[in-house]
Amino acid sequence: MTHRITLTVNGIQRTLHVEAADTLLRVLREELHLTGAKKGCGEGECGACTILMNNQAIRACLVLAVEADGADIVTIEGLAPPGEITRVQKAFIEADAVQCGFCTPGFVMALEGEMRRNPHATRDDLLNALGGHLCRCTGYESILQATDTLARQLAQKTKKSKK
Amino acid sequence: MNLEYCKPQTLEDLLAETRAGTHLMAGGTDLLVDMRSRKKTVQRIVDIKAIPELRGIRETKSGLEIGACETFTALRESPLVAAWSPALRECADVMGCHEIRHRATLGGNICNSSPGCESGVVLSVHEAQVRIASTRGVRLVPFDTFATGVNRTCLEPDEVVLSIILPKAADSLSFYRRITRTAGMDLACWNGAALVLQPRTPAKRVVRISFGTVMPAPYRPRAAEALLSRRPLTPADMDQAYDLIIREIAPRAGSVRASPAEKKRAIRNFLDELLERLAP
Amino acid sequence: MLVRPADVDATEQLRPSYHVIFSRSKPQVRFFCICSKGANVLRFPINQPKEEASVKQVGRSVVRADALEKVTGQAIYVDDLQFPGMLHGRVLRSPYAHAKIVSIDTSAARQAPGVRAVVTGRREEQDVGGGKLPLVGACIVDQLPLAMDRVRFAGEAVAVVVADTVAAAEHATTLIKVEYAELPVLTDARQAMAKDAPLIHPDLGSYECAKGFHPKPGTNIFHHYQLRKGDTRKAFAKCDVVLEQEFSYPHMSHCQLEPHGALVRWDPAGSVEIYSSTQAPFVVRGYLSRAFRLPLSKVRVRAPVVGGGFGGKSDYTLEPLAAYVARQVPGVWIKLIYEREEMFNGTLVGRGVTGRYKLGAKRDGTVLAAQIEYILSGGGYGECAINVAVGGGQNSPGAYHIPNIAVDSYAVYTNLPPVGAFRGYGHPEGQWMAERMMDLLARELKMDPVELRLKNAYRAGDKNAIAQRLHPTQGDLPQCLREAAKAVGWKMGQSNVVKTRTGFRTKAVCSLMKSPVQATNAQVAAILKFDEDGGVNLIITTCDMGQGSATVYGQIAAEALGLPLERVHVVRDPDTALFPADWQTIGSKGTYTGGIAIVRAAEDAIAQIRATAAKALRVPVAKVRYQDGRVVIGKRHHDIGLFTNGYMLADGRTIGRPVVGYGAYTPDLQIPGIRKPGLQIGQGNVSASWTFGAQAVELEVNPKTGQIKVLQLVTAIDAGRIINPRLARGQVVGGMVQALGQTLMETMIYSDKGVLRNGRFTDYKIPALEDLRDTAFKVIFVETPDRNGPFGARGLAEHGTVAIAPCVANAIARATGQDLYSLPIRL
Repeated sequence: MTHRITLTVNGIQRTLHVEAADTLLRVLREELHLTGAKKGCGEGECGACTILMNNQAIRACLVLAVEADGADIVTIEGLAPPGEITRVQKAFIEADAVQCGFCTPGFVMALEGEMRRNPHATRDDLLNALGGHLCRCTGYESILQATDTLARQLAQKTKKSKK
Repeated sequence: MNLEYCKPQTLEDLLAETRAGTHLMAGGTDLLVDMRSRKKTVQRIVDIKAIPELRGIRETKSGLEIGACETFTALRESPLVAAWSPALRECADVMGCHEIRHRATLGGNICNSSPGCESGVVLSVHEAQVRIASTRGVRLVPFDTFATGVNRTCLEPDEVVLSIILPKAADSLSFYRRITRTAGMDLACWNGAALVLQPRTPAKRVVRISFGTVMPAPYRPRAAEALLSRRPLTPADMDQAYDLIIREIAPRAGSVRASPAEKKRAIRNFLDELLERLAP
Repeated sequence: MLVRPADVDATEQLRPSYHVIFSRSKPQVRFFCICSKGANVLRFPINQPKEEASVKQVGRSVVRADALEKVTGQAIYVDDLQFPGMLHGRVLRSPYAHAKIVSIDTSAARQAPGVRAVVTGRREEQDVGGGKLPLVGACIVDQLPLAMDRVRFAGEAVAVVVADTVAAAEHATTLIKVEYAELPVLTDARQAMAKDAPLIHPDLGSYECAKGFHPKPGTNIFHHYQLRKGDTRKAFAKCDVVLEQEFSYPHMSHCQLEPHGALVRWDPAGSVEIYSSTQAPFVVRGYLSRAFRLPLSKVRVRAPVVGGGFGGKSDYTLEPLAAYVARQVPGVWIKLIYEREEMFNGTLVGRGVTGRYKLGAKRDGTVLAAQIEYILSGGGYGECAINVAVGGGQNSPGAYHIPNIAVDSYAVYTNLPPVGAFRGYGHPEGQWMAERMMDLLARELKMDPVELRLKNAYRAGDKNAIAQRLHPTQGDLPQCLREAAKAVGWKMGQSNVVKTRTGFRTKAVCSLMKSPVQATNAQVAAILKFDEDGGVNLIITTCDMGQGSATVYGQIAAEALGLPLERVHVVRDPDTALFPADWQTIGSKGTYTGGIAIVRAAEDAIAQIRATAAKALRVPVAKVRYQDGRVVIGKRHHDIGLFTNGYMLADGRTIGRPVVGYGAYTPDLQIPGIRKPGLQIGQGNVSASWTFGAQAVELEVNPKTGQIKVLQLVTAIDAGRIINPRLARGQVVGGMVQALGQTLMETMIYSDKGVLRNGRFTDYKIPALEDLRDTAFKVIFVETPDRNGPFGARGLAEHGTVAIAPCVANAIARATGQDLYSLPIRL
């Protein structure tokens, strides 16, 4: 059964025809060619498919495309205009929190989601947002460093805004 | 292969769509996994996320009513849940992971009815009521009657869970524990919850405990509860309670998640913690 | 929060900032090219370690070359490739671990919507001409791309559907009817070795086999590797203490986040092109060429960005199957991407060793003898397992000078998924035994376990198990032991166990070692191609799957040429048609062997530059110096760009030709097991280099709950000169955490019928961030420069995995008295 859906993806309105059984992940990757979100397991266990839907971090492999009708979707490709990167991406590069890179978009989106949702997120909040993300390469030390950097930045901002 | 999908906008429409051969979908975090593994053959999905009657966390005269479509994130962040049931808050904190919690719902969790589902043991000790609707009307079912076995509930094919009601338990303490294989995302390989009414008055104290993964549905060991209620407690009492429980439960050998020995040890430690919390 | 130059908090930004060109149209990574503002310039300030004139490239923690493309989701992995008209494949797999295929009925599947073909392994379909079958293998040729008349593990591919969409192909697989006749299942290697065990490969005797391998026809043993040094029988008789113990290390899964995938197109004219998530494009080419009887030039293999390998994407995985399918549906691109479940039961697994270790010593702690039985449960097919039995067996005595050694290592067929390379390659398995034994011995002798290890540790001048004499430049194991002990806070002679409110805090220190286990002809070549503006392109086939080779190679090339990093571009995405050969990216040998090839290529390029300069400027070559990327004649300095593409005189005549530097590395090794005069069996020059180290852990153990909290993970490693400390640290830490997973939570759980029960992340758990958030990681590099390695570097990518498991078990034993000999450890 084919459904017509209209959704905003990275700021651009899209109209698509999807099968009921299509996951949002498949549609983003194969119909819209936004291949930044990855398929690591297909059952929501690894986090590599994480995107923002209506400002919440969700696992695109566990969402049917039809459920995204009317939704506002942000993928890793839509985090920043070309030529720019976000604080999260910068922190990951500087901490060398990227090895094979397959899990990286998921980690970045999870942190972006949490920081947008909660501008006063603490280190614990950020780590909680990453609780279900698997990385097989880094051993997490560098990811923890990147997260600590972001937490410090947020804390400084919170301090400044309180003054 | 030709999967059907619809998303009714009113409760009336939803009830009209609910029938045998239909799979209701809230967060989809169990349904899509079961479709993938072919545990379920799904031909027709009815998305229930647009129904207003399935939302809301509010205090009513019956108790704390939680809409079936409330997510685990909503449970975690609700001051009402925190006040009414620390145990429910605790299980919501650890269920799945961040992204899963944004989608997974309390209704979905109990309808999937896994023996180790996170909320089952908590609703069990609260003696929660499950509010169920169909075209024939609305009925209330105690949670322990609702969950009937492994992935089984008392729901008829045309019924929908509207909400879950936690009865008032003003003077109480509750907690939730589980064991897992990793500190990251994991199912509960064993879990347990306790609700103690009037915890500081041993003579009036009522102890309720419920364990998951040791029987087909969350299990209340009544004999042990009777032993532990209405009296001050000693370590010897906990030993006795433990023996009573062990005799009644039947954890499956050969589970890939936790062995019977690990589950028994967890029960033992749970009872020790209960004693610690109740000790004057 | 976006980072724009104006927004950046000045206190955060270090000077200088670097400009990076990022162009999606070119499949290259460019290193920090300084350029003017152009349409495709991506400007962002990244905090880069300061580059001073005197600081060279080696030893700098430069930012990973491909970090930007990965962090922005621009990196292209195989499943990101989409070609017009592309079709999709899905595999039907055997539910039985051992069975005859009686019949396959594909008629309903072929009629299903969207289906273009259904491919099976029937003999007629497998015939590649003249009745020949596309057997895959080089060491032991025992596998067909698709099961023909028999399946040997639950998960073996039986049929493949090719359809317009994955969903259509998936649906059609459910319509294929396969009739099986079950055969007895062997899930235990010792059982499979028993006399009269049912044969998994009854025709073993007729299989082609490379020199140096000894399958035993009429049994399930497909190789028996032996090592003999000295006389263990006599030596044990002289020992004051003899201990013996059995161990096991079950099958584990690599769990790379990116599943296997391939895109293949078989040209009807008789050639095949394949993109694969592989660590081994040239080896894959070789396998396909042999199996399908194609000249190598007709097989083109390309590797896009690879999302983790860990050995599980080396040798071959799904490529023969994908090529086989494409051959039946020629002229169109076919994409085959494995699901996570298939990664568990449909492809290579790792580990799977049971063993027995007998250790003998004098009362003063001098180890005299070790006798080891190392049994590898190789799974249904042996090609990828056979060398693990050799490498693992060879180094199972551990990093100690033991004058008498007997190792018998068996590679055994079992009805389980086939074993292949998995980071560590038999060394974690062997040293799980060796390092536990050392602690048992220390306990028996009432000796400090670190002191015992120091007493017996390999030192320069020692002849090791395979009769190679260890050279001082191969590393300082005693220093590593001391550093690891110091870092973890080991107190010599004391218990190192502290009682806490909930249990114990405890420590342990272990040695580790590994050499690359490689083919004797494992060559790698490098090409340096110069641009007219003096920029240089490095072309070398090493698959950067996250270990950082693209970055490190750029540093080595820049160092060797004396050029700033910005002028070196490491060309990406290996292509067997265009790139020089490289055996495989495995064995922790990339930096060592690739680096040597690059240094030689630089030397070659410099010689050509000097020759052109000499001719152009009419001076003897001897007067032409090359220094820091400039040609120096007398007092005059010239940019090399003048000479790299021909030097044009004032009148237009041009002298010289484009400089292309070429360098290669070939190991001078011999086949393990082939005896040379004067050596005992199994000995010989079989390892090109060695890396030694030591690891330590500190744990908190709660006996009541069984919880183990990891407080410290320590590695002190002597990998020679570290080219990029940050990347190197990433490798070591990543390896330690993988090992921790295998120690505490990972294992393949099979039913007694050989069916995998936990083939999903839901039930195969790997370490998560929460498991490590309170762990202190300590990595110490003891840098004894290697005499051959580039700028003194040696390999280290796998070594972090080698000794963590015995460290954990030893620490627990010291605290609770519980002796564990199997993994994973669940208290």
